[in-house]
Amino acid sequence: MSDDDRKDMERRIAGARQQRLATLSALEGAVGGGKSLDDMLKKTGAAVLGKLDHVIGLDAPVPKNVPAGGGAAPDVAGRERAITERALTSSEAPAEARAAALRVTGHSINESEEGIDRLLAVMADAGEPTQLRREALRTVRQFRFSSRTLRDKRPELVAALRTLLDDPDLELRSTGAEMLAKEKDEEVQRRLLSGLAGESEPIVDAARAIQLLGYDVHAEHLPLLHEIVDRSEDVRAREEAIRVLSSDPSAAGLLADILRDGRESTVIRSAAAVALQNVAPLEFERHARAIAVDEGDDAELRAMLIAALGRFANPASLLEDTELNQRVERIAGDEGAHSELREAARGYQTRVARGP
Amino acid sequence: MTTLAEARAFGPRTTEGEIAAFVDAAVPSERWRTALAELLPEETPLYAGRGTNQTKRIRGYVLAAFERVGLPQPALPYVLEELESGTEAYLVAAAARALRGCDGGAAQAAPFLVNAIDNIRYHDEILSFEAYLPPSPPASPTTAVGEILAALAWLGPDAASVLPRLEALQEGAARLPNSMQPALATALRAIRSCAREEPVDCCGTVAPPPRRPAAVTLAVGRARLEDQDGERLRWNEYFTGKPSVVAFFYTRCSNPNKCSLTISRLAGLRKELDARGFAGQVRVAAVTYDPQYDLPSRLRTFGLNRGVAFGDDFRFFRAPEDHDEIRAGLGLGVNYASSIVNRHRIELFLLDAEGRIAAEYTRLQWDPAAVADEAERLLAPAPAPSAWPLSTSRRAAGALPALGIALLPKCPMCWAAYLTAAGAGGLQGVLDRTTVIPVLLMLLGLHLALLYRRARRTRRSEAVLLSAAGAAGVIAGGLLWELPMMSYAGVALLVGGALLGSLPPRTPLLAAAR
Repeated sequence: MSDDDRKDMERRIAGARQQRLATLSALEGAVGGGKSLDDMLKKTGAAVLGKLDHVIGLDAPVPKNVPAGGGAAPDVAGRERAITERALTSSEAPAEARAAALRVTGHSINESEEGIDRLLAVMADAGEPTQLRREALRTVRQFRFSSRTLRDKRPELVAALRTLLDDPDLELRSTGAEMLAKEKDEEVQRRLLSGLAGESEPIVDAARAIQLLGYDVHAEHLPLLHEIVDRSEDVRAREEAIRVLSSDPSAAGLLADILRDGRESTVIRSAAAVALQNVAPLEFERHARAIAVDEGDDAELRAMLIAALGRFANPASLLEDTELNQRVERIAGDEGAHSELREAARGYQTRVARGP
Repeated sequence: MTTLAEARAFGPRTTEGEIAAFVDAAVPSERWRTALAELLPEETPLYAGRGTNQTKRIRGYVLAAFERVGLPQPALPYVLEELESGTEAYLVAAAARALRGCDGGAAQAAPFLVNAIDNIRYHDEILSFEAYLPPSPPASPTTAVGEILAALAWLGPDAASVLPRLEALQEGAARLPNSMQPALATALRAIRSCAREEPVDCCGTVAPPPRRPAAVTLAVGRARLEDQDGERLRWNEYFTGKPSVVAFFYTRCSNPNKCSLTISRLAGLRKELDARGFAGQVRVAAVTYDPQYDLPSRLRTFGLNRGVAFGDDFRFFRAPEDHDEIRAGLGLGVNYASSIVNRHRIELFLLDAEGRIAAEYTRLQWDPAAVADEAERLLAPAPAPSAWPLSTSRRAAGALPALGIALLPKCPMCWAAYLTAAGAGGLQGVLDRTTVIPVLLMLLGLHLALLYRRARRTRRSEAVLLSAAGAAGVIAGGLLWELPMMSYAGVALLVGGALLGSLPPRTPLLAAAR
């Protein structure tokens, strides 16, 4: 590294350190004294910011070798913990300031049992400001990857997330349900199924509920999804149900019927094609070949199927399909053909020519 | 209310409410314990068509009830299975509760309980057994780790073998969270109190793999298979001609301690067999529970990712057309909700060269070395039938030295007779006192040693005493004082002691207590 580069890096490190300290000072003032965050930022000379995402120090690029806490005075970690504590407990401080503080310094409690307990309590407390609770939930989601202590507090975490299933705020409800669904939680699966079946107030809309149930192939949703695909008029829900049925071999017939049905939209038929390819590849190939050579069928769908055949089907068996190859060759050479179709045909030829 | 007889008819249409009411009505009696235990096998019609969550909740509620009504021995493998391999907090908690239904102690369960803490601590949740579907939050909350620690406290001194592992949970990297420390402290205090010399096990033992040389059905033998490369063959084409090991699994199993570990262990078993020189002599295979979804490419990828080296004698199969025949023919422990497995046990079968089931390993984790030992026994040639039963031969061996002693000369006239005969046979150079006396003493010692060893097993110490008296008579009368009658009497006592010692044991052997 040249001397100039080194000096430049040192300047940037010092600048980042200053920014960090200024941010902490602003936050300390905001959560400690009940002043608005903007007022505190003005007082410390930092730029005036209106939105949570632009709190000083958060957006600024930090040189790679700056240690955590900005490499500033040794008490930075302690200050961060104190700010987080105040953000979680101070009811006088403005909600925006508390949320901003948690966003910036929340990492300081990721291995503190007491800190995590307070974080979960704030998240689950309907009496706390929604902005703060959303920030607490966001912090918990980060901790799921980074905190060993949170792993040991799974019972408390699941209990807190379950309280969000009845929260009036959609973002909290939906994110809480998603986190539980990824954990394959029994209670959220029962609630989602019950909502889909019309037996109780749904937590989230049908498409979202189906998506969440899809995280667990063992959830008891498959028979209901068949019904939804058959009868529902909710297009998003049908599309999602088709996507999730890619885990159910018994749905192969239903998916093939949808794929071949010209009255269905391209979106729905495409979803059926993807699901069928996963659950019954040979069945998919058979129908895909038939549609690919049908010039009366939807061009976008044909393009997708030709590309899929080139990618997934056995090249040796494709080479034997004279009709398909002739049709693809015609499309590839036709400058007047639908552009996506033409590109898919050319891609198919390239892959098939490569052989097995 | 459902009667015990009606419970046997529980099936897919039985509501959860009916099942819960039946379990709630259970009382401590042998009939109720048996009835509840009969609800546990995975393949019972009760679980057909039910989702995984329902299946889990029913099984857990039944297991937890054993704390109240008593844990019968047939249910013990289910409890240990859950503790050893379970990753569902509700079921593990229920198993720990069930253990407290043992009347007395269950020392063998201590290592299972501690292992269960490792399995479940990062998958735990707040749960309750106050009702089948308790309110949220429950009035009587608990956790799986909490129930395990309570079971360890209940075991008390019988859990002394796991004390070091539990102490490690108080500090350091393995430390349990603050909320669990009081329960851990309680368990440790209970274990350290009044340590017993011998742990108590009143719940019986988990039986070793039963050996049942059972033939598979004709339907199984003809079942059509497809392997990981798409090659098709019949069951008997692969599973006869050589001994084979076959495990069951499926690629969508969400419990890493079951199917994924089974396949990794199977790969290890193949290596073990090859290392012992049995490459080409024993086949290894895995068959999927999920033949419609587990296409050949999925079988191949799953195996390769777990160290499987596929070959002629190591293959994975699916049976898309004949899976039901295999499932019924082998009595597989699995059930389904539509096409998805809702619950299965660990199961591995050892088949002989005729394709008959020689051994099966179910529920608990099997050890590749132990399975390899069993396979080796199947490969060993059968011993030639002997004219004498083995036990009779062993008994006769103890009497031979006595007969030999009886034949040796012990008095002057005998010496004369023997020397004359020896002269006639040209053996006069061999048979004299300086040669025979050491031989006589050696035979006496050998006879007494053999008799003593046998007497320890048969508890016939009088045989040893008789022969010892006889030996004294032979030595005193024949070698020291030259009293022929005394030496004859000694020989008679020797022979009598040998015959007495060859009798069968006085009482049957007691099985070692665990």
